[in-house]
Amino acid sequence: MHIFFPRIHLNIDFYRIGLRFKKLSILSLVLLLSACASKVTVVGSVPTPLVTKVPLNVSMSYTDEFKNYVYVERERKRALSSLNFADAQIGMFDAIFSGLATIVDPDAGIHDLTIEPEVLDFQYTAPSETKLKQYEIWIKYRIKLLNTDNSKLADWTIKGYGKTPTALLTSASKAFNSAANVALRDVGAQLATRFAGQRKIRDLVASKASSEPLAEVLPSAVTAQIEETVVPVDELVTTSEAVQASATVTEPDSDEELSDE
Amino acid sequence: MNKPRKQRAIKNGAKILGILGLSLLMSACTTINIDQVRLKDTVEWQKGDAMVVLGRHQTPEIQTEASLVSCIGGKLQRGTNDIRIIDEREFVDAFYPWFEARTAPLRPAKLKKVLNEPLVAAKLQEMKVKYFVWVEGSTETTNSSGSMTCSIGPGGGGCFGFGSWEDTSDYETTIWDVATLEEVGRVSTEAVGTSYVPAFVVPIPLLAQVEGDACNGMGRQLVRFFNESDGDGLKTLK
Repeated sequence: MHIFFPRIHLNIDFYRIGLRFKKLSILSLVLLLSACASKVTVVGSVPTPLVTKVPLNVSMSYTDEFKNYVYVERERKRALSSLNFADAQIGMFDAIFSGLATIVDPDAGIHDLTIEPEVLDFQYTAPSETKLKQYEIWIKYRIKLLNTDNSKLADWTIKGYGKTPTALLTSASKAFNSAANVALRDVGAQLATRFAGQRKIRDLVASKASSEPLAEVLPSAVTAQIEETVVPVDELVTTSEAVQASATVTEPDSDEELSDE
Repeated sequence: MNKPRKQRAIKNGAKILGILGLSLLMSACTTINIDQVRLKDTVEWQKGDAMVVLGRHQTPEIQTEASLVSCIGGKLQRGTNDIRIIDEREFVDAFYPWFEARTAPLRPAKLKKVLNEPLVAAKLQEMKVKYFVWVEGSTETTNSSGSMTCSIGPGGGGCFGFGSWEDTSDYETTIWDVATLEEVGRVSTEAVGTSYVPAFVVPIPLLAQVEGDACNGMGRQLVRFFNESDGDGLKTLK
C-alpha cells in the first residue's frame, strides 16, 4: 500500500517580492494584530499638570452624550469596531482642570466659569490601512466656556494626536488604547499650557480680582508660556501631511484666542 | 575503556560547535562613527545632582526609540557614579505638560520660558536636575536583498538560500546645562550594520545589533564627556 504524503513547499524570494525576513515577521505580526481588533475600552490617566492655578472656581459639565461617548465604526472592513474612551476623557478633563483652577460642584457653590467639552470628531488609522506599522488616533474637541448664567463666554477647539510606538505593540487593542492615551495627553498638554493665557480667561481673572493687584492673580509665566503654542490644523484628515502638521511644533505669529462663535 | 574518552570527545565537540555557533551569531558587524563637540571646557556636578535623558518626538518622523533612551540612561548611570539618572517616563509625568512631544523646548532659550513657570523651576531645583541630555534620531532598515526557499514534508524539512539587510542608526545627543541654560556639548553617532540569514537546512540569523551598538558607542562617549574635559586634562568630577 502506498500512502501519499502532501509536500509543502515555500519559496521566499527576498529580492523579488521586496520582503525581508524582518519585514515578513513584522507584517505577519501586524496582520495577526489587525485581525484581532474589535471593541476597545480606553483605560489610562493623565497626570495633574504642573502649572500655577488661575484664581477661578470652575464647574465641569459633562453632557450625557459626552459621558457615554463611544466611537462606533460603520465600515465593516476597518480595524476597529468601537472605541469607548468616555471614562478616559472625563478623567483627563478632571485632572487637567483640577490643576488649572479650583473645581467646584455646580450645585453646591458659586462658580466663575462652567466648562463643557464636546467631541467634535474622532479618526484613526491602523497599519493595515496605512502600511506605516503604527496606530494613530485624532480627537477633536470643542470646549464650551459658559458664564455663571450658562450664557456662552467662548468656544475653544482643540485637536489631539496620538500614535503608538511600534515597539510597544502587543495587541491591536493595546495599541489603540496607547494611541488614545497619547492623544488625550496631547489635548491635556495644550489645555494646560494655553488656558491661563487666553484673553477671555485673563479678562475673567482680572474682573474677578479687580480689587487685587493683577500681578498677584495672574502668574507672570502665563504670558511667556503662550508664546510657544501650536499652529492649529484646520480640518482633520488622515494623510501623513496632516499628521506632521498636527504634531509639529511651530511658532505662531500671535496668540491663539478663543472664538466667540 | 573507550567510553569516557568518547563522551569527552563528544562533549568537546559540542563545546566547539557551540563556540563556533556563538561566534557566527556575533559575526554580523556594525561600523560606528562617533563625533563629539565640547562647547564648554568643563562640566561640573556635585554628588546627589541629577540628569535626565530625553528622546525627541516632535514630529512623526522624529520618534527616538524609548529603548535607546533607556539604554543610554543606563550607560550613564553606570559610568557616572555620583549623578542620578532620572527615568524619562518619570520625568515627563512629573513635569507634565512641559516635556510632551508638542511642548518640549527645542532650544535652551525655550527652556528658559518653561522655567518661567515657577512650579517647574522649583521642581527642577528640588530634583537637583543639572543637565538635560536630548537624544534625536532613529534606526532604520536601508537596504535588503537575497532569497530563501523552505520545504516541509513527511521526511522532514529545511530551508536553503540567503537573505541580508542593512540597518542604519543616526543619532545626535545634545547636552544642556540647566544652570546656565546653554548647550554644553553634542555627541553624534552613525552606525551601519548588515544582518545575514544564510539557510542550509536551518536558517542561521546573524543579526547586527545596530541600535544596541549605537547605544554602547554613544553611552561610552557621554560617560567620557561627563568624566573628563578637553585640553588641560581637568577632572570635572567633584
